[in-house]
Amino acid sequence: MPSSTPFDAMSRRHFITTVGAGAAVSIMGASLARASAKEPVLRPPGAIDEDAFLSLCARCGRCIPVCPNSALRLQGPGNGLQNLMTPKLVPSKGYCIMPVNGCQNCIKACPAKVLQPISLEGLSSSQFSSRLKMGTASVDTRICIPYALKQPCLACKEICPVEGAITTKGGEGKGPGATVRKPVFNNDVCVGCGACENACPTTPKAVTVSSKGAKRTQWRA
Amino acid sequence: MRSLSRRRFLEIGAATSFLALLNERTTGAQSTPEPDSVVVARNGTPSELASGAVRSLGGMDSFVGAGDVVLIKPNASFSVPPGTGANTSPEIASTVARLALEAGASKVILTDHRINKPGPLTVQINGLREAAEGCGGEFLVLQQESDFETVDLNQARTLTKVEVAKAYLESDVLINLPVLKHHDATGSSVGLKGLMGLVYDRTVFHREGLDATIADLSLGIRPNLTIVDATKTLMTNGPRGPGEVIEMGKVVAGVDPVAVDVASMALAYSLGYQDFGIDDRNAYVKIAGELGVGDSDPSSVLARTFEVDVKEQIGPCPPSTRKGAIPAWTPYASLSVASVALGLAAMVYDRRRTRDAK
Amino acid sequence: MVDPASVSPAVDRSLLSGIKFRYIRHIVQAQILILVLYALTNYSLPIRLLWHVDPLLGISAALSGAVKPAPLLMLGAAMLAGSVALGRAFCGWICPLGFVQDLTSFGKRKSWMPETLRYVKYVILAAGLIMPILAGWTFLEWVTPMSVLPRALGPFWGPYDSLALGLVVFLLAVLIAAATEKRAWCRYVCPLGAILSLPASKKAIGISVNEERCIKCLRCERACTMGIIDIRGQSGLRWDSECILCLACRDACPKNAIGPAFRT
Repeated sequence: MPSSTPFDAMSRRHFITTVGAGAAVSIMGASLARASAKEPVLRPPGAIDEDAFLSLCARCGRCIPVCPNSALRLQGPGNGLQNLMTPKLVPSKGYCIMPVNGCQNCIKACPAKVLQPISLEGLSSSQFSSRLKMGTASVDTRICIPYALKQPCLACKEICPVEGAITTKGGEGKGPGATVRKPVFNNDVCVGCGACENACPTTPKAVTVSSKGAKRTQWRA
Repeated sequence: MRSLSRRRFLEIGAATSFLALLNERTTGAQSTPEPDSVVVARNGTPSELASGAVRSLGGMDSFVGAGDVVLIKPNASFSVPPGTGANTSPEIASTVARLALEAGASKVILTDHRINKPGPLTVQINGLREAAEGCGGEFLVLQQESDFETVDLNQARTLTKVEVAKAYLESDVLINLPVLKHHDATGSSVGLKGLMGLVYDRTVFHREGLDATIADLSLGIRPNLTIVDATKTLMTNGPRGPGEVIEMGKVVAGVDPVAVDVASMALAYSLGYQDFGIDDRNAYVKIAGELGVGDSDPSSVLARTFEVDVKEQIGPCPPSTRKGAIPAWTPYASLSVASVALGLAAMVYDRRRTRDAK
Repeated sequence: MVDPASVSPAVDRSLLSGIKFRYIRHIVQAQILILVLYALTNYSLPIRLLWHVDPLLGISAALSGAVKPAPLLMLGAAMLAGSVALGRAFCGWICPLGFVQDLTSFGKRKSWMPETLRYVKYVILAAGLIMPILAGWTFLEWVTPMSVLPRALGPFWGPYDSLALGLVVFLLAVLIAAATEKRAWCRYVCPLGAILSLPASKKAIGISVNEERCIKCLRCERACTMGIIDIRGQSGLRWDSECILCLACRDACPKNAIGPAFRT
């Protein structure tokens, strides 16, 4: 008598074996996942909180090609299995232009709604961080050219689209090197778009953006 | 009064008398500054100022020949709207483009290796793409390394090789069209600093010393004409702003790129903005003078500077009447129609074949 | 086993005889694939629905406890309900990964992989449902076909790096497997297919064989994309639930002896 599913063809013993194999795979996979996670990931704009993100993200990769600056990439296997194929913002490849023109391409592309819409209407750029906060930038003063070499640079401040996120100090003196202004990063105002890291001319980058201080939104159906 | 070093005193003094002397000599558009003069046009709309300045130097005909490919290099780096002083004004850009076309250019290209990305969006926001295309020119967005070619810089002290835009090497005439503005790192940015927009890797400049490398670059890129937009000038928090914007209402032009920089900076410095002075700040101007690119001595530049009161008028081009862009779904819709047609055709063919076989 | 006498034909054969369903099916599949390609760089299209009908996403998200994805669950439940009536028809007519496999499966190769491999997709499904309960994280999104295909095609439209290359290689592996064994992914790996097959035993449309017309030429056995037809043994399908309603059997039969039929 033909059976409807391969299941029906199985004896109860085989059924238990199948489910048991599934459970075994789960346990192995779960322990692998937690063990190999390293740093928190810098997520695209509008990301919901990380637990819900990992639960809902379809890992479909649709947000990657729609970014006009090609700033997003899929995470590879090096940062824990649970992050595999999830999207991340990579400032060294490109930076988020939402502070410039309100771009919401990745948010609109996401079918699972793990990236929620953000409206910057009516805000001046120094207020953006109240709604858009992917992370924050910081500088390593041992590598940053004005700090370390006393030569002018400020490529980061030139490109920063958020008023007040990067300010300067120093440079009012006289003599060689004394007119050099150094960048100061204001975490409260910075939205974490990554433009500064993208523009920084040193190798390794003196300015880096991390997900520290990121503000996540609630998932809305 | 605070004690000043003697050199600094001379700088300020030169700048202040600069302005005083300028106010004294108001020559009309007819009187002739020499071709190697520096011209400061005032008293007109931005497009009147630009065309008046060029006319005083002998007219665009003396720079552009019939059939020439003209490359215009405005400041188009920042994705901020016009009027903030961070980019060249689109009105002036379109006027200069139109003058070049009227002088017989076969092609007018505006270009800048902008700082903000993506390039096409940046030049849309700051209005410079529209300015180029509205006059029958084009805006060339420099994107990849293949748009550039390495050249050797002889006599350079620091930057011996640099990747320069191929568009510059292939053009016949280069018109540098910077905007005068404050710059946090160097003090101010005018024409010499603006040449960085024709270079691929700017990080080298920051690493090897901005002043030395900018001066070396000016050995390799020689504009035929420099026209400085000093209409709305960003005086603080440059190069992007936002900061204090002053309606200076002037355009400075000349053949000597160093002299033009000196004259432009002096205009701003004389209004009290220290960062536009040439001492520890803007040192690249002095180094360029030492390398022989042009005249960096304020008093000798002053002697060659004429202020021009502009009366005549050539308007900017009308907004471009490009055809509307084809919506993005069109290729997919045609693919869809094609697949349906293909499938139906295959089906009919197959049916006919099996019917005949039976 | 269905008594052929009780089956009424689903289609009027005289009208449609000679038309191969294959072409109609491929036209429909092509439209879906074009829609997916369009959605890769045009975010304005609400193709989210195509993702939301995937029950795996909603179920694993709900089981992980981190969110309560009611809308995802509802559309996914609708799809599962649909599979009660239509079985794995989604696989045969809609799934774009199924379509690209169909494009590489030429000829009438016999199935050569062992039948027991079919259980693998149920193991993957079980693991994918137990994992969120045990450990709170989900992985079914890696292997659901609605994510596999756009993810592997994305690098052609967007930025390209070594992970992107890996995704393309993975897709190529699926297609090469399909070239040697028709729809290998669908038969042995796909958890979405697994979950759709579970309610499918009750499905309203099935495949039936008219034993009077059948000449036992076995062309349908070779044509079956899922490799489940068994004429010599039982004159029907080995497993009803695996049928994707591709109707290749009907197209192949010279005597119109096999085809879709309503169950009454």
